[in-house]
Amino acid sequence: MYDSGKIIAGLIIFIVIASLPFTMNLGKASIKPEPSINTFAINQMAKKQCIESKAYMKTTHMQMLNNWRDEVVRDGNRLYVASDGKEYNMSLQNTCMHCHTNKDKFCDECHNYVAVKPYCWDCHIVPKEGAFVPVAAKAAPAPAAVPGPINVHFAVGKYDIPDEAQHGLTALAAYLQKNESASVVISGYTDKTGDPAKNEELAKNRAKAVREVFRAAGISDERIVMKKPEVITGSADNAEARRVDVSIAEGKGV
Amino acid sequence: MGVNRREFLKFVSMSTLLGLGGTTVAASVKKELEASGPYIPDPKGINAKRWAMAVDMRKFKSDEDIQKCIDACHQVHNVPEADPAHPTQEIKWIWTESYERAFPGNEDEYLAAHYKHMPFLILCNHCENPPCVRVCPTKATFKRHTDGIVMMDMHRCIGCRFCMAACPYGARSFNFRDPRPFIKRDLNQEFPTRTKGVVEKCTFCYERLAKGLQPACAEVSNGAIAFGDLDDPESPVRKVIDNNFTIRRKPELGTHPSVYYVIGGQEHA
Amino acid sequence: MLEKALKGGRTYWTWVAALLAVIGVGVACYIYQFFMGLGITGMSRDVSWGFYIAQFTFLVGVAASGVMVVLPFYLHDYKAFGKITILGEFLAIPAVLMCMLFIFVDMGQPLRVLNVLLHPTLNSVMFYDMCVLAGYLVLNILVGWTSLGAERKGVAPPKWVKPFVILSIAWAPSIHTVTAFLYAGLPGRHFWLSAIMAARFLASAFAGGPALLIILALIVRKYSKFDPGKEAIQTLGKIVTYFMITSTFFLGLEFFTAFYSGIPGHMQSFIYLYKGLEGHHQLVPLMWISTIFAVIALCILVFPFLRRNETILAIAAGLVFISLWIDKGFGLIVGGFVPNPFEGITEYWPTTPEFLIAAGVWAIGFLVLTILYKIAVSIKEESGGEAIH
Repeated sequence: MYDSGKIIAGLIIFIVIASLPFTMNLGKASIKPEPSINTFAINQMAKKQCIESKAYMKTTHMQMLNNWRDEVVRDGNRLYVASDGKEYNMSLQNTCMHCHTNKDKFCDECHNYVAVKPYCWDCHIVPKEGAFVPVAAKAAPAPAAVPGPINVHFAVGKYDIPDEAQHGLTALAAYLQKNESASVVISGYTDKTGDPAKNEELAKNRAKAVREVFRAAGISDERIVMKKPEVITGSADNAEARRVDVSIAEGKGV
Repeated sequence: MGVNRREFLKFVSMSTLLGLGGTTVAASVKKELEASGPYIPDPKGINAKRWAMAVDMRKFKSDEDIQKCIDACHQVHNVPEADPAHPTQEIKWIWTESYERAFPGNEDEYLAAHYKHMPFLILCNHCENPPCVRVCPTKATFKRHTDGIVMMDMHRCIGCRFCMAACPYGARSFNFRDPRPFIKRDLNQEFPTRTKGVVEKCTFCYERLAKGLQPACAEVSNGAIAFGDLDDPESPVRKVIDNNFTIRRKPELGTHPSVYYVIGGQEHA
Repeated sequence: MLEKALKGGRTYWTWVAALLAVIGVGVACYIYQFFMGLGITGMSRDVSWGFYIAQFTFLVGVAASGVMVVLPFYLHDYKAFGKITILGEFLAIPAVLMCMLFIFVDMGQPLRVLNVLLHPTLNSVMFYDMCVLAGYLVLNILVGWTSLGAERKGVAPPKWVKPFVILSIAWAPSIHTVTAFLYAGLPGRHFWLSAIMAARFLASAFAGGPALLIILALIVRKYSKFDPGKEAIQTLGKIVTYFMITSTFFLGLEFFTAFYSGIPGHMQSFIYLYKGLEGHHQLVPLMWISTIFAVIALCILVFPFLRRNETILAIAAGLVFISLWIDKGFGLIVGGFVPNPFEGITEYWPTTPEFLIAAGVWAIGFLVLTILYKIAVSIKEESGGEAIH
């Protein structure tokens, strides 16, 4: 080969550079994105519904936002009539982000996964945790009766909060918002089966998941008490045991 | 030997260029044709054929009155303060200038001091024949056909600043740096900030008009700023123009500005 | 043909290395500007166009001036320009490239530059500017490369080149007219609102561009075996002379209108530039250097016996180039923004990063020029030099 030294050297350099994206990311296989809709506003909805169907939003929200932008800025149209007839104000900041207040757990989940950096956020303001909680919920000082403790039950090996538990948690959250002096005590449990070390982790994760619900409702961390139980494997009945106990306590940081 | 190396390389690069270029064109055409969905104006919004403003300088009793208008606008729109290290790279949507500065060409050394130092509120004039719109290469600034507001599309602006050169009134500001660290007031969560590299200016509070509200400056001006439809004889702005002598800035340029000023007589003294 | 640029002596590679160093510094500064924003420059709310646009304006003129050697040769069979035409075309290419780069580094949102093509705006002069600059670049590359390639093979260029040559001759003044229209149509800027803006631009372009070409031709003769021709250089000298006279005359016309009419709006920018206004006089020394250089250059150029001495001609050409660079660059652009629409004054001077970015772009231009000239000269050395048409 003519100039074989230079050619082979060049080829090697090229292969190294071209394979950098693979070699640099070895062992860092990204976890499948799981956008979370665990926000106060969404939890409050009787029927959790976005402007259009989840599938449509997933594939088309980019074009939709582009169209919204042109309609609002360039044509002066403000309302979007969804396919179910409901009217929505066309605004990323004031409509979408009012429900999806958790940008980093929702928008960023998928965007980070596909390494997309939409520059919307250079201008459009990202809501803070606890933003857009309806003013009424914050202001009313009515001393309601202290709600009783609730148990959130989980599936085997799982720590995502089932839908049926949301209502109870939302009620507790609402109470906490109205009563600034109250705090919530959270304790996580597992059943007796399985590896004890893994179970300890699982109990913690379950408690953390419940904690997120309260954080999303704007309750500050000093009012959320994570109380580790003496024994994390609860009662004899396995289904009963896989739970988190949530109760209200008076005074902060009990 | 059919094709030699040079021919092959030429062929490959041309095909790549055409392929890339072709798909880009096809994609953008496809986007235009895609289902655009039903969009309607907000029924709460107020409309006009041609929005205009009349600033009655007689009704401003103090500097605080005027500063309130400026603060209201800059607060509602998240306008940043100037970087102290670069005061000439400031951003302002509405501010004050003396008579000579607001109406250059009208200088007169014998003008009464009271008028010379009157702090005229200066903002974008939303001209009927705007030079800035004429020069914008991307239509990032454009005249809204519905109501005559000279709008800014921050998403499209390429930051070439041709509009700033074209505006005879110095109404436009450029974001020389990221504005967010310099927004000293509480952020208005309902309105975006801007990013570095785009031009901005007063937009006659189009987002408030869409909700049926008056522009921020007019709302806090205590009646000093009248805002309304120039085409409607019953509108507040027409009432001011009908009953007072009004002037506009640099009318000889043919821009047909929509901001009128009432200077008044000695009752303000 | 590109391989010709890879063979060179010590001088050549030292020059290329120096250019690459300047480019490197410029790129680093540009990355800084890209992330921090244009606030790192000396521009302000009042002076919203500065050094970058000034360089662009000047370089469009240099690019257009290629027509000054192409036209006599192709349209009027002026054989003396046979060897120098390629140098003219290959000067136009880096000049247009630098224009486009200067616009790019001046933009606030450079990644959105394609918006100009995605949303064509037929009433915007800037849209046309982008189109004509791109078109001119393509034309010059096409014509220059094809002609040179044909010469290398020792044949006449293909017949289809001729219409493109004619097109480039018509296109050249148009790029500079469109650039002048950027300024001449703005109602608020009285310094620029002049009917002879485009005429001034063209006159100064046809003086400044050939002046640079004279110097480049002399350098080429010194450092290679290719001689563009004594007569060609002398004719260029005559072109520079007449157009410099015209350009200076046009400037005088502007002065007359401004000062005889006495209208403040027309006078104030001139007063700021040449005398100082309300205590602001940062540009006065620069403008007077430009004037003095122009006067000296004209005094030399007017006399044929002085022009015939190529060293003196080179000096005069250099003075012309610098004088016009100051006048069309700094003077014209900054003068348009001072005083501002409120008759207030904000002065302007480029910051160091801004200057380094501009230097980087100039270095890129000179690198492209060096490479193209190296190729052209190498081929001409081999083939004996005459363009055939």
